[in-house]
Amino acid sequence: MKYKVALKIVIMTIVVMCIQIFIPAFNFYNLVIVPDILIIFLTYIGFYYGRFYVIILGFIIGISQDFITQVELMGAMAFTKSAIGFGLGTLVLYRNIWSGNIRMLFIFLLYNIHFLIYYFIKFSGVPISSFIYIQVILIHSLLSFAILFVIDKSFFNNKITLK
Amino acid sequence: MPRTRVPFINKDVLALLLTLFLSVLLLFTRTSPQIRLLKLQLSQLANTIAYPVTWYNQVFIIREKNKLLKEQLIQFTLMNSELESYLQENIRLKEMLNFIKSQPLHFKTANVVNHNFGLPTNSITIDIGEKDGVVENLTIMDENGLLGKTIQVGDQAALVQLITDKNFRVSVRIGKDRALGLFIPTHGKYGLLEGVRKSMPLTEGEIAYTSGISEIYPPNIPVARVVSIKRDENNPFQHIVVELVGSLENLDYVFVIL
Repeated sequence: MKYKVALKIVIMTIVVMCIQIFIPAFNFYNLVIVPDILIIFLTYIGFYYGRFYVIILGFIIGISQDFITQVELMGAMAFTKSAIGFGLGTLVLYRNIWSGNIRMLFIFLLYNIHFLIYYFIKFSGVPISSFIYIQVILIHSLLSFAILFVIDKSFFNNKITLK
Repeated sequence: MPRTRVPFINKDVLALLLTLFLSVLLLFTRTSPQIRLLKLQLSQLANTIAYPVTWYNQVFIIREKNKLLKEQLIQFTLMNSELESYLQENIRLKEMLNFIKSQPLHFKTANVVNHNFGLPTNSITIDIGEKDGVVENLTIMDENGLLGKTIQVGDQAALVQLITDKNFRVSVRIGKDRALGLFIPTHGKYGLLEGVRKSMPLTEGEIAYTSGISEIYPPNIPVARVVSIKRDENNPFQHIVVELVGSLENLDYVFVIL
């Protein structure tokens, strides 16, 4: 049973990673921002399969992202994705307890924490104003959250965003 | 046997700790500027957090040091009182022997008005003479060391034989044993020290001072610094090359020791 679950997750991961490659990027204050759909995928894994899977998967996905996009910061994405994986895995424990709003707020906060840690490492030593720093974190979080919202409404019949 | 279970340590937490550890390990093996700065910031943070512990430890170290210093202070106080008694004893003994105290040097400053390097005697002329209390055979020096002696004195000027003059000689003492020697100029700022016995340990850089044996020069005026030493088996004395410590270049003013 577990083997089948693992296989299913691996296949889904490969598919989502392939999709992530083709996600268009945009420019903000000369910073290239790519909407992170892998974090959305991790949200669903956390929601359906729990902490263990999401932590391990977060680490693997993070390492892959680091390896492909930022070798000089290898480990940064793996760290953030593993850390928030623990938080996203909490969703399964409170699936029937939390209301949709609380769940959404929790996910949004986790996204913020994820990008906060990630950009803290990435902007370390870079002369950048705090205002832009906060803006980038919020934009990236909001973007990912909006995509999650759309996907949830379109393909998952309001599983996460259900009131 | 029942299995013991630690609360909150389950496979999720273990997985998290393991992945975080691996991530941090990977991150800190990088050498990019961001990571270096991040390491610095983290070490500063760790220092700030650990400050109370460090402070607490330092209090104990300071207490120990204070204790040691107090012990040393008592030792030094005892030693000081002992030295004080030696000083009193020394003064008393000197009084008993009628020992004359060495007097501090009195000197006058003079401007150099003429350089007579072309004459047979290598000399300079200074702008003070008999009216200022200058007589023949007074020591001339600068702030570094011996320069010569007065050889002719007028009312308002005096002729000074420089230490570099071929006929100039001065008795010196050198080394730990204060061995006697004779300074003889050779060329330029260089000269020789003659009469220093071979067994006398000497090193390069040591300074020869006036011996005080001569009636002209007071003792302990720096004369020359040892440049090289040669010991010849057939010669009972060392061959010592020295350079003058007094500066003869751009000579503007000198001191006349009265």
